[in-house]
Amino acid sequence: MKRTLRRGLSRSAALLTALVAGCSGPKASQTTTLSTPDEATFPPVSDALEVRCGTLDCHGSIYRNLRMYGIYGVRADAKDVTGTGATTADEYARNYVSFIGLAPEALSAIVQTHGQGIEHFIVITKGTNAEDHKGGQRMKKGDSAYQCLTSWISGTIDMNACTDASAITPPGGDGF
Amino acid sequence: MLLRAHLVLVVSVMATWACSSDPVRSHLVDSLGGEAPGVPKGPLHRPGQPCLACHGGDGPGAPDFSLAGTVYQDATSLHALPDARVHFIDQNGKTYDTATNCAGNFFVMSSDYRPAYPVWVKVFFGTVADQPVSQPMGSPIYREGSCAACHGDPAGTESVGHVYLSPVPLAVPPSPSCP
Repeated sequence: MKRTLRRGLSRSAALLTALVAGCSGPKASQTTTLSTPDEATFPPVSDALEVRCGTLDCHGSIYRNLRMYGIYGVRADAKDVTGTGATTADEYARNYVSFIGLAPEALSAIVQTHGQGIEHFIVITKGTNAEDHKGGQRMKKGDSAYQCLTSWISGTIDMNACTDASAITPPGGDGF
Repeated sequence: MLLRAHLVLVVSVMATWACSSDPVRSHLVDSLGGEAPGVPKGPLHRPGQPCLACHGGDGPGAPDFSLAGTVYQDATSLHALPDARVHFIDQNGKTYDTATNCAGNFFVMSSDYRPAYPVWVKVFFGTVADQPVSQPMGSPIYREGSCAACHGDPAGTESVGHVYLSPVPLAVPPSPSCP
């Protein structure tokens, strides 16, 4: 009887300790340094993402994470209208924050290793539909959008790929 | 035995209700209000509204559409553009054509065309110097089958404004038989 009681108390103490440890967050003074991809070269990457991910019916909506501002989606400035006028510097900055804030620790590790494990990064897994994605497959491994994004994260942006990925045309071209 | 059968029935009904009760969509449907006076339910009703809110496959409207919307003559007015051809092509190259009615409405039955997104769309109307006049949409559609979900009025930070053929006013006469 005593033994059972002692065991029960011991388990309760362990559970309580785990709960306390689980609920306690980092100290206010604690800081974490993360590595992020280059913001200065982000606009062409943003262009590639906006046209295939950032329309009003997808991530260009304020109701979805990885929110993307710009010509195809929600506008940052109340004076701007969707569909009219290029994506602004402020919108590129906001898109950058959206991007690096999505999975910061994972992104940091990939940036620090110049791209190792990039195929597991959420924007890649979702974008390629390797992970279930309501918007389906928006890039394929090796295509210009994939190359643009992965090269930028890895530290050496492929501008040609980004330029190529900034437009998306229907099968057979624009004269459909 | 009978109690168990009852229980199964109750649980099934509750599960069905829970799955079909989407409060966001219900709120959207409610927000559309009633029918306009003098316009019967049917192809001419509710121009400019997000058609798939009701006709998207989960009711309350029937039939089910995969794509639907309203085309207006120009950017500034709400004059319907009848008899325009609306042309779609999906990412697999599968195309579909439909036409606007006198209310400017068009719709594509899910049973006729279920596109693989993205979908590109272009509106054709009339000719100038023997060349068809057309207006392509500025971006592909990625998932939303209701034009008005993104093309509501007024145009602003979260809306493109209504779908139109011409940036400048046209003088296409309205159909006299249209309610």
